[in-house]
Amino acid sequence: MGASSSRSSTVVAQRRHGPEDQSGFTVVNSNQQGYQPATVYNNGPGRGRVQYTQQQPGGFYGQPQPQQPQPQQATEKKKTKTIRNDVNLKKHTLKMVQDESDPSVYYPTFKFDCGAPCSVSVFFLATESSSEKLRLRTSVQSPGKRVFYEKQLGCTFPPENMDKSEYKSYGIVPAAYVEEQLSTVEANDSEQKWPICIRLECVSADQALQDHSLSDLPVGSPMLDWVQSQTTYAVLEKHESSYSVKVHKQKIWVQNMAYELQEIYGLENANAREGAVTGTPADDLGRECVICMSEPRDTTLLPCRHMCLCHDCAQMLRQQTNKCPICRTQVKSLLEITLKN
Amino acid sequence: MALPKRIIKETQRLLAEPAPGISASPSEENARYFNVMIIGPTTSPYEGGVYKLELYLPEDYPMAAPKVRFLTKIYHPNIDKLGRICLDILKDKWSPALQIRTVLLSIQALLSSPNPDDPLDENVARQWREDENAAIGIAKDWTRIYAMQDN
Repeated sequence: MGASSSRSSTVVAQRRHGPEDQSGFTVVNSNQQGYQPATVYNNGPGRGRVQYTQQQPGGFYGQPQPQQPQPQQATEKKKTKTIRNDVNLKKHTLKMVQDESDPSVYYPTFKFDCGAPCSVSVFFLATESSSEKLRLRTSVQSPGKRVFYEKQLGCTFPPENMDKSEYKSYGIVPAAYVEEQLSTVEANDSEQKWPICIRLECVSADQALQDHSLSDLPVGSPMLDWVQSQTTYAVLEKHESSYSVKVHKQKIWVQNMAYELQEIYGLENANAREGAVTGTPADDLGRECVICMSEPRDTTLLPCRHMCLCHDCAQMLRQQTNKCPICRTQVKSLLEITLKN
Repeated sequence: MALPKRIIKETQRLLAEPAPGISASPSEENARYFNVMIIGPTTSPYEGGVYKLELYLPEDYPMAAPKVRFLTKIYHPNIDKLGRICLDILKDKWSPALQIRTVLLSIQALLSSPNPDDPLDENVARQWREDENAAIGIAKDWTRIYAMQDN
């Protein structure tokens, strides 16, 4: 029993900033699998409505919906609208690499997808205030220039066409800092100071907002309605003779709102095809619903994010124990994702 | 009523790939009733014994836990005279993600680590707490007397 964390890029997002009259929804992201429009269930008393998603290369969809108290009643299905996220840093690819010409410098490398032309900015010891639309202020070390990319999947940073001597302008000299400064997040009620932030930005896919250019936007400035971004927040951990990066969270900014991305546990298993590589039966890959052991897993329980059930069993569970079979957390809502295989 | 697919699958897998030291097979009359044998774990007082149990899948399984009982007499603080087992996953900690296989593995593990602080049989548990060596001696005797017969 027990689920391991999925290494997939699929996530649930929770709204963190935006108008106060909208709250409690969830969106999903994937840039690996094809998603068909999904169905949302909501039968909790006034709890989070769930959303779902649809796929295009590098796409991310979902949209906040106003929330109203719901009476306890038979489970209802809701169709949802979607929003799109065009930029996604693959967090498991993020590493710190020692500069060849100057071994005191470490710079970040990572892979990402962009469904639109985008730019990458790297910040060290950046302060984000909760009231400033994800503005990132740096005081110790100014961020390097934006690095621009064309629309493409599987981009790498630093870009291959960049002169190696330039890499270190996106790096840090860890030895110049007290170890705790790099390994911990300084936080109080209104701000957080992150050792590393990496921001991918593009112009909103909204046609009406297309006449803007990222060059108009100062690096680290507050997010605007025409910007769509993803920010990855991380710390640096020191090892004997090297440093590693630990990603704490990722946030996206879409249509003037910020969302925090969260992984779905077990989605990768659900994607695994029976016997594709090893001939392992489907049950060993954890692909079938843990209750009926017959149907594929397509429903994630929220808030715990365990994807372990088929939609029928999930509905039945809601009306019975209403606890996650994996972790026993009380279920507040269901998120159904249809995988296009 | 038709047997749910899950029960059929679990049964097939139990027969095809039995867990080490455990066998479980459905009775011919009732596919929800299993005859179970668990071999006493090595280095436990039950080593060398073969324990018979009965396992029944209630109508609402897997939303409700299987009902399991020892048929072979056993001296264990968490198992009473009637063979009833004190194990949280058979009661309030049941989850439909658990299976017949995981339940039997848990029972096998319970034989390796008796827990006298959460007793079902108070007399056995008291003996276990007050003089563990003596209790283990009794458990070994019972293993020899009740669990090693050829039958």
